[in-house]
Amino acid sequence: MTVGLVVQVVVSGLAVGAAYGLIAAGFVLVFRLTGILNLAHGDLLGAGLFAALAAAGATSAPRAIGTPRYALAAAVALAVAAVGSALLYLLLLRPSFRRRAELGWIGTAVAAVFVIDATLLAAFPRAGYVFPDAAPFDRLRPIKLADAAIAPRALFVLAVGLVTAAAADALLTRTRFGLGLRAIADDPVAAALSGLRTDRLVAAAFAVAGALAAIAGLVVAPATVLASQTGLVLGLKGMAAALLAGMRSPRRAFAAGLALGVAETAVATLPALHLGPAWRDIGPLLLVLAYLAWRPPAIARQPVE
Amino acid sequence: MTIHAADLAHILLLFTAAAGLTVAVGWAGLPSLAQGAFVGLGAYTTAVAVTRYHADPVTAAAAGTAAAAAAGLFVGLAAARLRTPFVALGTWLAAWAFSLAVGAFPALTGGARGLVLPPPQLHAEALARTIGLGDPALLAVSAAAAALAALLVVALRPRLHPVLALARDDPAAAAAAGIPVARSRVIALVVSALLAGLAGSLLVLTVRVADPTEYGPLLSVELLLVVLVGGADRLAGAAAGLVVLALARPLAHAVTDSPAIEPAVTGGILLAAIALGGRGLVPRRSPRPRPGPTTTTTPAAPPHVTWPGARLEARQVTVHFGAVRALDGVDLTVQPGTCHAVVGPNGSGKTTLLRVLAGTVEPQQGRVVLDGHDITAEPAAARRRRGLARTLQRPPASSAETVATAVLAGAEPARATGPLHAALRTPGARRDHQQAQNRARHAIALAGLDPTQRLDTLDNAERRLLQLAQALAGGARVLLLDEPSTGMAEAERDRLRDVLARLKDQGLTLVLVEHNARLVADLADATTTLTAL
Repeated sequence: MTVGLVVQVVVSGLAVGAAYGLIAAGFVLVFRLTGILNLAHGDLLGAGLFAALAAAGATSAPRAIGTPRYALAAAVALAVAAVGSALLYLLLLRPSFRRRAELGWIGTAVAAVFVIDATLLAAFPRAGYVFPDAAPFDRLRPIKLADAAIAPRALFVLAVGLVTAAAADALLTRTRFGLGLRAIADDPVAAALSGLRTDRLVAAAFAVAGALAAIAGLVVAPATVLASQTGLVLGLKGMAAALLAGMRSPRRAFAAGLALGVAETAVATLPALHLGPAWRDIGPLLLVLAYLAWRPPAIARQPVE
Repeated sequence: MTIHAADLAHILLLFTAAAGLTVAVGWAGLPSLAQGAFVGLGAYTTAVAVTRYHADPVTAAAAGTAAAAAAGLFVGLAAARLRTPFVALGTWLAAWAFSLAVGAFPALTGGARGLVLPPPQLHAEALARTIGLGDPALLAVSAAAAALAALLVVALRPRLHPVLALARDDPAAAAAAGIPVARSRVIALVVSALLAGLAGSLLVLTVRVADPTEYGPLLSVELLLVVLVGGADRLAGAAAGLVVLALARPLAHAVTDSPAIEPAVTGGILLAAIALGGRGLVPRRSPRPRPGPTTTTTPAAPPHVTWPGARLEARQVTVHFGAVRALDGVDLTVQPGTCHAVVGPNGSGKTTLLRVLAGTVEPQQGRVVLDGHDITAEPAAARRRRGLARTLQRPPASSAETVATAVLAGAEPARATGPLHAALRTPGARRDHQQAQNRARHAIALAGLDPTQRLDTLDNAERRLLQLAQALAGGARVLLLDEPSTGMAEAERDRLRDVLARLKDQGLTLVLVEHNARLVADLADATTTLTAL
């Protein structure tokens, strides 16, 4: 095992991890506000990507579609995921949430997963689609660094991920909007009594979570085959990262996403571990299940008294 | 429309798995999203045993059922400690992990093509098939599995349902009342997974193909739909939900053949069921009036039972929370049949002292002795079985269960037999259940409560008395009472005083933390005063 291989694994792991991190950050954000674990989080991302594909007329086009059409596609993906996420909360999750019917919003979320994925499968019946790239990364040569070959796309994904995460962090910590959200997370009743429009703010936070997931989807989708369950699998990874971060803050969740990406890439590619690509999707899930069974984070534990 | 034997067997086996889910979701309130994975684990274990190890069908089905039950034990041990939404998230991730694993390891599972089982060896079966009867033997086996599931669930209900329902509605209060919350939840998930595994094993033997798409998370959600649409608390609800699913599916397939139709229909029905309130088609049985004393007669004439008390001692108990000293060398001796009051200002450590006595807070120094036994190292549950019961300062959260159910669940620490006996309906279990019901009835009468009343209609005073009744039904010999009269009006306080005075006269030991001076003066034989340190 060479140093170059390790560098490659770390860089490509960080890139995919940045996407998981953005998804995880949104998942944690809405959980801190409402206590809702939005199991349909990743599927909204999938809906956004397919809507973008249709809007750009790119269901059977080559990877590079030109900047104006790509910009349109990206805008559609963001809008669909953000609006869809807010509507999911307002129309489907909130009624059960208000009645404090946990079984109700859990059932609603899983039902939404199957309705969204089935709709995507009906509208886009092929086994896989190619999602357009922001730039023609396929034609760029890998960057040589010592004996490591680093894909330019990985650097792009990582850069977009870090910038988006920093922007989201600023939104949550430096703005009035973020202040309002923190007030709700601390004490929703007190926040409402002091005049905050909590419902509107929470819906906006769901929209932010959807948009973060859509950005993650936009940057990783061109490197994979886009299918009706792509969003779901990305969502599962995001949830795994969020749990590993103890569901504590969007910032920690993003960091856990980065770590998960590196761990997963190492497991899938390093020959010394004797595991191979079959473990890429299962590995993170088993890891987080073992964690949940062995040492659940404090917030997940049944209170004793 | 003709119904084939294989379709009927399929429905019977889905009922088997759904009956199991009723226990986890309906009784225990654990939103298990892994039931489909348990069915799949049973199916794949059976299929692998038959195709790779040439096991006979009975051995293979037993292995499949056992594998699912073992997985249920693991999930149950984890879920027992988790809050409800995280049980859903954990089982959701587990269901997908199973589904992805089936696809990722084709060498074992056949991957997307699945595993095809060899044709049946039995002569009668093959003959039946050639003359077009389908598979009567497997139909009979499926019917037997469904009947077994129904019998098991019905046999467990009187024992497990009260306990799980109380633990579902207020886990902390249930644990304080001595109800084994964690153990009951583990049992609920094992029963649930066992029936799922049995269904999966027989399903794969019926259709003869282990098809990976059949056992995905969609099956989990279908089974959740079946129990929620019908009414999660009732076995009849599962049957009703199954009818809805069995009718909706062919209708949807008549509209389109797209593979997307099944998940869309499943999701749509589930959304509709929850939007309509999630109560289900089969209504809950409204509580029947039970024979026995109620408040309509005067509660002053309880049956003649004695509640023998125990001697409780605390020696030099010291508790620190970081730099804060909560208790510093507290001594306390309470004789059987007396009331010992603990008074002092807020923050002087009264509740902490009760927690040390009950075993939920570990002291840095000092000993707790009950009837001469040093119980300092014993956990709260073990002390509860010795008769050391505590009531909480806060009343239990509201619940749609009845007083009779709640107090019967409170009898759990004094039970002589376990749930396995209840499942097998042994004579010992029947006798034990009779005794528990008697104890519960006496305790309810003594507290002067109405056994048919729903918990969410109890007033503040009645909720306190309910806690007392639960403690008595569970064989309490020492009652640790944490501010029992908080928020009570004068008349309510007098009622509480009368009940406590009678218990003391009948020999029970009381430790009373209380701010109301009159209640202390009326009841206390000795007093310890704590000061804020």
